[in-house]
This record gives sequence, C-alpha cells and structure tokens, in this order.
Amino acid sequence: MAQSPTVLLMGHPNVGKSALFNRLAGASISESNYAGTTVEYTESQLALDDGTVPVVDVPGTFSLEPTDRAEAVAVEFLEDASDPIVVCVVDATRIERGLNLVLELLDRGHRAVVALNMWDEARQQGVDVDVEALSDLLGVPVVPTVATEGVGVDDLRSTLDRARPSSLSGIIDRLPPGVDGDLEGSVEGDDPAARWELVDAVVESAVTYRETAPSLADHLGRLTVAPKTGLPFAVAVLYGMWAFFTAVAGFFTDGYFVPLFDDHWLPWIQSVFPGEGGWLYFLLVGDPAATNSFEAFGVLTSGLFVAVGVVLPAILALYLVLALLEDSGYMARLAVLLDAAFHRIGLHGYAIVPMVLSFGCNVPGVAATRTLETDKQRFLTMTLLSVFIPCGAQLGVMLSLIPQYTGYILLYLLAGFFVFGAIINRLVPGSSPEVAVDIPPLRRPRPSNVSTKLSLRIRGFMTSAVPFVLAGVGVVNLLYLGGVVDWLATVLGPVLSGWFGVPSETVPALIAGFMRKDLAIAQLSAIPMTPFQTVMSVVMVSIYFPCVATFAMLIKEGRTGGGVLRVVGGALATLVAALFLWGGLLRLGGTLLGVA
Amino acid sequence: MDETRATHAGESAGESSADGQGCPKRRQCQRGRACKRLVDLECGETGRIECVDCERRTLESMGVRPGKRIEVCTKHPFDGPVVVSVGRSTVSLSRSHARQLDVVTD
Ligand SMILES: Nc1nc2c(ncn2[C@@H]2O[C@H](COP(=O)(O)OP(=O)(O)O)[C@@H](O)[C@H]2O)c(=O)[nH]1
Ligand SMILES: [Mg+2]
Repeated sequence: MAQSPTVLLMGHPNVGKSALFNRLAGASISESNYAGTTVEYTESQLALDDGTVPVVDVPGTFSLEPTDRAEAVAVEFLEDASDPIVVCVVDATRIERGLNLVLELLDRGHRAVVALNMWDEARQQGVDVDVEALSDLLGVPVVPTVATEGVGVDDLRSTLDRARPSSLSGIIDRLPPGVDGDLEGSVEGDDPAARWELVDAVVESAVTYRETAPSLADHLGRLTVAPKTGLPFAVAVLYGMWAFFTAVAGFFTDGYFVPLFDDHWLPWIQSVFPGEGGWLYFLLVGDPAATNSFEAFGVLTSGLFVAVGVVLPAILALYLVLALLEDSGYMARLAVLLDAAFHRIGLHGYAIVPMVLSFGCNVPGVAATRTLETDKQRFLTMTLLSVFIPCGAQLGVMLSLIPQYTGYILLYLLAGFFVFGAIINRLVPGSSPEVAVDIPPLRRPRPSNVSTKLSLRIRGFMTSAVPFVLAGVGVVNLLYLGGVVDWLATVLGPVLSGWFGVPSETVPALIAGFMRKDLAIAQLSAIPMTPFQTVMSVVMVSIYFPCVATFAMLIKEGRTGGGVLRVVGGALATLVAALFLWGGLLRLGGTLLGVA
Repeated sequence: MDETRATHAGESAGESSADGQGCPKRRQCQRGRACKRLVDLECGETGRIECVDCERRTLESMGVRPGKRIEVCTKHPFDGPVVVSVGRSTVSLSRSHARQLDVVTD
C-alpha cells in the first residue's frame, strides 16, 4: 500500500486513550477523569522504526452505534479510514465491556491491537488477566499498559505491525473445551446477546477476579454521590472553589499588578509616549490625566492591564480549580447530584460539564455540548451558557472592580439560567432522552497532568484572548474618534435609561462587549454610576451578547446541532428576551427595594 | 446454565416488541416474589439483572446487562437518578431506566 495506514486509538470514554495518545505521539492534549473530555479528534505523528505513521485520538464511544455527536465522530472516523490499525484501548478493571467493543471491532473486520490500560488499577482491584491466554484466544496482540506512567507504551508501539484481523468464529474455535461449548457459529452477524456470551466465555478462560476490600477512594466515591452526604459536600466544594478563586485572583491583582501598572507603567508611558492630544496617543495610551489603569483606556494601558494584570491571574486560579474538578472524577458526581434539577429544564445532570467548562471560557463550553444527545438539548445548553454564564475573564474583572457584588450577580445569572431554561424547554420542540452516565472512580489528580493542562490553557489565552482584548480597546477608541459612540449613545440613550436605568455612557462598554466581556466590564469602571447602576450594567453586559469567539463557536456548532440559522437565531432571540426581561426584573426589584 | 439461556431468549423477544412497555417477561416475572423493578429496590439491596428493556444497546455496552450482579448504591429524591454498581463500574441510571430494568433480588 502506498499510503501508510492510520493508527486509530478507539475505546470507551475515560479509559485513557488521550493519555496513551500523549505517550505514543509525545503530544500534550487534555486528559480528564470524566467521559467526554475529547469531543474532537486530534491527529499526530507516531515514530516507528521505519518512518512515521499518522495516529488519531478518537472520541470515546461505548459501541459502534453512536448515540451522540461525539460518538458519531468516532464511528465516522472508523468508517472513513482506509484499512486503519485500530488500537482498542480497554480499561482492564472493566474488561468485560471493553472486550465487547473489541469483538464488535473485530467483527467488522478491522486490524486490531488491544491495549489493556489501567493495568495498575486492575492489579489493585484484584482483576487478574492472563495476557497470553487472552491474546491467543482473541488472535490479536494484547499489551498491558499504564498510560499515565508510560508503562507498556514501547511494547504497544512495537506490536503495531502485528495488528491483524480476527474472526469471531475463529475465537469460538479456540475456546478451551468446557467453556461454553455450545456457542458455535452463532456469533457472526450483529447479535449483541451472542457477542456478550462470547465475551463471558473469553473472560471465563482468561480473567480471574480476586476479592479485595474497597479502598478509601471507593468509600469516598460512594459518599460523594449519595444525596445526604453528597449535597453538603458539593456545597462545600463549590464554595471552597469560589473562595479559592476570589482569594488567589485578588492576591495577585491587588497585591502585584495594580501597584505595578498604576504606579509605574501608567505614569511612565503617559510621560514618554510622544504626541499627547493626537489620535495615536488616544488610541494607545488614552486619557493623559488618568491615574488608574482601568480608566486610561488605551491599548497599552488598560488593554494590557486588563489582559495581563487582571484576567491572567483570575483564569489561572479558575483553571486550577477546574483542573482539579476534572481530574478527580468529581465532575460526574456533581452531575448526578444535580440531575433532578436539570431535568426541570429539559437537560440532564451531564449538562454540568459544558456549564462548568464555560466558567473557564464559553468557547470550550459550547464545544462540550457535543456529548448531549439531541439537537434540542444542545441548543438549550449552548444558548443558556452563552447568555448566562460569565467566563473566568469577566469574573476576574468583576472581582477586581466590584468584589462585594460579584457573588450576587453570579447567583442572579444562574437563576436566569434555570428560569429561561424552563421557558425554552417548553417552547422548543424536540426530545430530552434519559441517559445512563458512567461514574469514574475518584482519582488523585496528577500534578504533571494539571500543570500540562494549565499551561495549555494559559497558552491558549495568551494567543487567542490577549490580542482580542488589545484589539477591542483599539476598536472602541477608533469608534470614539469616528463619532460612532456619541451617535449610538444618543440613539440608545432612551432605552438604556428608560428600561434599565443606566446612563448612556455605558454604550462603549456594550460595544466592547462584542469583543470581550472582561473589557466591557473594565470599561464600565470609568463611568460615574450609583452602585445599583453598576450592578445593573454588569448584568446587562453579561447577558446581552456573547463575545465574538463564542459567537463564532455557536455558528460552527450550530451546523451540526440543528442548523446555523436555527441555533444562532434562537440564541439571539433568547438573549434579547433575557436582556429585557431578566434585566428589567432586576431593575424592578431595585426600584421596589428603593435602591435603583 | 439453563437460566442464562432463558434470559437471552427473553431478551431477544424484547427486541422485537420494542414498545417500551417494560420487560416482556415482566408478567411472568411478577408472579415470583423475588423479581422486582430496579426502581423498587432499596438502597443497599442487591440482586441479579433479569431483563433490560430500555435502549438496551447503550446500557448493555456500559456493562448493565442480564445475568450480572447489581447493587443499588443510592436513589436520589425528586425522581432523580438511581446509582447502581455493576461489576466494577458505577453507573447512574435515570428513573425511567430504573423502571424498565427487572432484578431478581437475593
Ligand atoms: N491509574 C491510571 N489512571 C489512568 C491510566 N490511564 C489514564 N488514566 C487516567 O484516567 C483518566 C482518563 O484518561 P483520558 O486519557 O482522558 O481518557 P480518554 O477519555 O479515554 O481519553 C485520566 O484521569 C487519566 O489520568 C492508567 O493507566 N492508570
Ligand atoms: Mg480523551
């Protein structure tokens, strides 16, 4: 064959495919302890003795009959690849269901190698696999691996050229006498029950289970998922995460960056930048008399300060807690605890995953909706999170400017998430199927993985978000110079003050909000407003439009989630309704309480 | 041995009558005292899965399949999910799943 065959890493969700991929290809993509981390495929090159071959980390799938978008990607991959080498990754602690997928793959005639991953955990849990017997039975190479430690990865690499197809009837013939001898020939074709019988027969002759006492992690795992113990624990965990986030973000921003920027950088650049009063000065430095880096509003003053001084420490802290949540396996437990609540809005607990990721950044949050089953659920989640979930960058700026209100604003937005969720659920046709969710064991997060993940995300922030913040400041300043801001302020003034009770000076912030929410909030700080007006305008900026990056992602995902027009149109309709109703309600409340 | 055979026979019958009315074996099953719907089991109760009738493909590929031992870990209030452990895995099933799963209790 002229073209070198592709190596596909396939297997159930959360068995360590991405970990293995990183080891095999020397890549660093996200590994997390919950199903649905990988919704997009990643391709890399795998170095073999005789050149390199492409290797692909395929999203996890429970079977070859996909039930959601991420699984569909996996199956399409398998069907489109020409004669691929399939590395079937099996969680050795749950070898039975893994073998079921292996047999399904073999039945379709694919060349395969089996990686028995989580070998370390299998040992501890008393699952003993006779690798040689298993390999002889299946007729394909079987390699035990511990992907996180790199154990067995070299063996796996060197067995790739021994990948071969194997027929199920051949496996039946090789079964030792006495093990379910009446299986003959009944397995060919697509009969799942017969396939399971073959799995049982294979397991009977190659696997032994020893009784082991449940570990501490097992006990904790159970307690955290039971309502009586789990709910108080969840409240404590979420509050602890919030406290950590606010404390760390504040520590770096107020302790280091505010003095650095306000006392040194701002006065210095104000004095050395030539051409005060000119347009370039206005664009890059902003207000020559400003004494604080939020208010100067030039690309090199506020832009840099917001991006590096405020948002960077905030998202660093936030991503750290998110990484712990992802890697410990606690996320799936939260999903179970919140399942009943999410059912009220047509979703299920697993919608917590896109929601939690959105707190880091809405973009991966929208992508993560691929693990939801129906277009309706995807639309609901995408829309709600892009309208109501403030991203880490925005929260960081809020914490720096209005720390005393940030928590309440967040709660108000979350309430909006559920209220509007319930409404959209009634209005949008489509089904919300019930799901079964696999709960991973609790694991201790590995520092190396957490730090890889952090550096990946920070690099992503530096390359994709920072330019947007700087450009956002530039665009707003250019619109100022062009008179557009004043014109818009006159046009929108009546609505802003009439309906929301905020001054028309908030217009530049609303414009900035198209680019970056964090920038929009920063912009608000320069406007003299009452505390209630500040809260009101922050809520407005949060709801009123997703930032460009999220909007682009909505368009992209809309294509596979029920049509771009439907998704984007529906999202826009929702946000307009949410802005006026949820914003108006806040003002009404404020008026009734006498604070507006 | 005979029992597993019977289970599988019942199961493939279930496939053709995919009407969501519960397990085809339910009627005959209810006569025996020990056979219950999963949703009627208490926390901590154990048994053997008799019949899975709901989206059986998905559940079975997760390892929740006839003949396997099952234990109810927790049941969540307000019609929330039922968390079970089957083999070495822990799976959270929605109530409607739990209604369509028959278990012979110990
Ligand atoms: N103990 C142990 N943990 C592993 C092993 N391989 C992966 N993990 C962990 O299992 C989880 C899932 O890994 P990931 O690569 O994201 O799985 P994927 O969903 O199949 O891509 C992560 O928390 C990994 O750290 C292994 O061999 N042993
Ligand atoms: Mg993965």
